[in-house]
Formats: sequence, C-alpha cells, structure tokens
Amino acid sequence: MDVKKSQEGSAPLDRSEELRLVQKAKRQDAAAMRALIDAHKQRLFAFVWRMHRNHHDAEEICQDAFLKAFGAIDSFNPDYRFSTWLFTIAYRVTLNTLRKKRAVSGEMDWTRYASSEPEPEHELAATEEANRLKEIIWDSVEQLTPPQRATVLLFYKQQMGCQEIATILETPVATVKSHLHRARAKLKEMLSPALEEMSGSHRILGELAG
Amino acid sequence: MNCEQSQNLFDAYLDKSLSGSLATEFGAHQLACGRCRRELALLEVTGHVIATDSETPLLSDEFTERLVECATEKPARRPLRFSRALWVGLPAAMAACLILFVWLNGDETSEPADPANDGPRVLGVQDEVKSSEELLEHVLEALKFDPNNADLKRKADLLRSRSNKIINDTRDGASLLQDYSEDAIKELIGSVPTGANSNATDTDGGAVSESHSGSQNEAMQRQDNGSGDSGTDERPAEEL
Repeated sequence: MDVKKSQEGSAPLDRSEELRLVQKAKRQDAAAMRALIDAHKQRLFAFVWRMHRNHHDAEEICQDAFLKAFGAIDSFNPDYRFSTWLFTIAYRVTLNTLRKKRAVSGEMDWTRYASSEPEPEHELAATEEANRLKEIIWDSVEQLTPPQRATVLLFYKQQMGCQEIATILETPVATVKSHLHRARAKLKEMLSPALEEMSGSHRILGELAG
Repeated sequence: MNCEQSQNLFDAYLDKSLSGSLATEFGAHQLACGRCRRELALLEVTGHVIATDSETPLLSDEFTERLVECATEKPARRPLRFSRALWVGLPAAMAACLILFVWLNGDETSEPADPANDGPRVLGVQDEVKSSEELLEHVLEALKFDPNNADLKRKADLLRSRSNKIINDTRDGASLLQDYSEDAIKELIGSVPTGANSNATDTDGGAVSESHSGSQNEAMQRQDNGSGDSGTDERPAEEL
C-alpha cells in the first residue's frame, strides 16, 4: 500500500527540471514557483507537522520557508537539491518556533496538539491494539529532542541519507548518526514497556510491519 | 555474540550496513534470543510506521496560490520602499533640524547632573551651555535653513543683545538664559520644516524657574501663555 504517494501529491522533480524551474523562479516566474511549491509542499508539511503537531503552525512555517527560499533564491547552490535547501530553511524556522513556544510556555505540552487534530482514518493497522501501539510510537517520537525527532523523520519518513540530513540540520554526519542512535535507544526504552503490556504483541508487530 | 554486542549492532543492521561474518553472527543471535529479536522487531516496526503512516493532514487548497501571490508581490513593493527612503532622505533642512534636535535632546538626557551644582535644577542643558554665543551660533545655524524666518532673526538679535549680560549673571540668570534658548530652539525646530512663523514673543527677563523637575515645562508654559499660541510650537519638536 503506497500511502505516501497518495498523500504527498506531485511526484518529485528530476534534477534538470528542478534547476530549470529554479532559474525561472529567479526571474519571478509565477508558474515556476507554483511548480516548485506543488512538488515540495506536502512532503515539507508532513515533516514540519510531525515536528509541531499543530496544523496552523506547520502551515505558517512551510509558508515562511518557501518565502524565505524564494526571497533568497539567487543564493541557491545548484550543487544541492532544492528540497534539501527548503528543508534546511524549514528546520531552522521550526527550531526557532519551538524555542519561542518553549520560552513562552515552559515545557511543550504535546498532548494539547495531539488532541486538537482530527484523527484520520487508519489504513495501516487492522486491530485496535495495533492502532494503540501506533499512537504510542508517535507519542514517543514526539518526546525526542527536536534534532533527534527531525533526524528520525527525515531518515524514515523522507527516506533521506545521513549526508543529506547533516546538510539540513547543519551538523556533521557523525552527529546525525548519533542522533539516530540515541533516538532509537530512547524509542526502544519508551516502547518496550508498552509492548510488554499488550497481549499478542508478536501479532501486533507483525500487523504493523505489514 | 551476547545481547549487548547484538544491541550495539542494531543501528548497523537497521541502516543496512551490516555484512559479512558479523551479519551472520548477528542473525544467529536473533534466532536464539527472543528478547533481542523482539527489540529489533520493535525498532523495525517503529521505522515502518514512521515511514508509511498517512496521518499527515493536507495543506489548505489555497496554500500554493497564496504563496505565489506573496512571493511575486515583492518586486512591486520594492519601489515603494525606495521612494519612502527618498522621502526620508530628501529634505536637507529637516534632516539638519533633526540632528540639531537630537543633539540638544541628547544633552538633556545623557549628561549626569553636576553634583557641585546642588541648587535647584532648572534645565538639563545647563552644564552644556557655556555662553550665550554658543546659543547664538545654534540659532544662526538654524537660520541658514530658513533665512527668511523673521522670528528666528528676532531671537538671534535678542540673544546677541543679552548674551554679555546673562553669561556673567548668577545661576538663576544662567537658567533664565537656558529657558530662553530651549524655547527659542524648540520654536525654530517647529517652524523650519513647516515654514510657519512662530508668534511667540520673548519671555520676561525675570522669569526664573526654581522648581526641580517641572521647571522646564513651567518655563515653556509661561512662554506659551505669553505668546498666545500655546502648544503649536512645541508639538513638532516632540514629533521630531
């Protein structure tokens, strides 16, 4: 089941098409901008929304990231993919927003965001327990530090390699690997007790693994 | 291979970078150890759920159009900003008056009070004003920007005629000078950009403020009352 494809809209652009659109966008070509936005918006939004779990904030961050990208498009380095550049900007904006939120409200209250979002129809898991485990997995991901969470999301959700993630997070590759290692260790630590409590955990894991 | 060694290789296994005899050993341990197998399965499932979960809500329909509109609006705004900058920089007389005002205002606020001068505080500029000639210079400088301002000319004449007397006067006399100069300069700042002539008349030479913080306002008020045009001259200076 290819859920991502149905949710994330346009197919990714090939390199030459992307560069052509960037060149046009430098000349304020609205059609090129539209094509670049449509090609990246849902992927970017999926990432930012998972970082924030707030639809309004995530949409604003995406908008801000695109505007910053177009505003500074003359400085775009064609050695990188446009998506890498865009995610780098979005990650920076996300971190700043999270810091501001933390400064205002102390610790983040993730449950507030989780409860404010409507629960979409579940497609992956068939049983109630599998659904529950899936929720626990996301809750655990949300408890990771922002760099760890970003690393996990970019690695698994966006299927990016450590090198590309390092570019986006503006950290060395070794740091990305460290984030990933610590994130997995934390997830294991958080998820193992929950799984222990569930009856038929092997079956649940099997169902979730597809 | 024990459990600790096996768990140290989880990352390499999940990143598909485990190979050779180590991979074989790792696989053998998973077959034999339920706990490691379970933990590894949990991590694999976690990665799978993150990768395939479709729970992300969709962006609003107008997202793209709104963005394109914002992004392409920028060039249209640039000339506005440029023209605004021109407006700010264009009138040399206004800029000169602003500098003059800032200079005077800075004198009022930045200089600490002279501890030796422990008497009634009349104006903050008192320590800076050394002679009536200096004040006269300021008025004359302002006159360069508005040479036809009769009121300024009259103020200059007044300062010129009184300078010798006031500079050698008592502290109260010095404060009187400052009342005059403060007022005169506020008037000229207010009158130069607009070109409006002030109707303020000269204050009585005996008007000496003895109050502490309110002395300046009182002095201004006295002058305003005397001129019959209160408030009109003071406002532009504050706005500047």
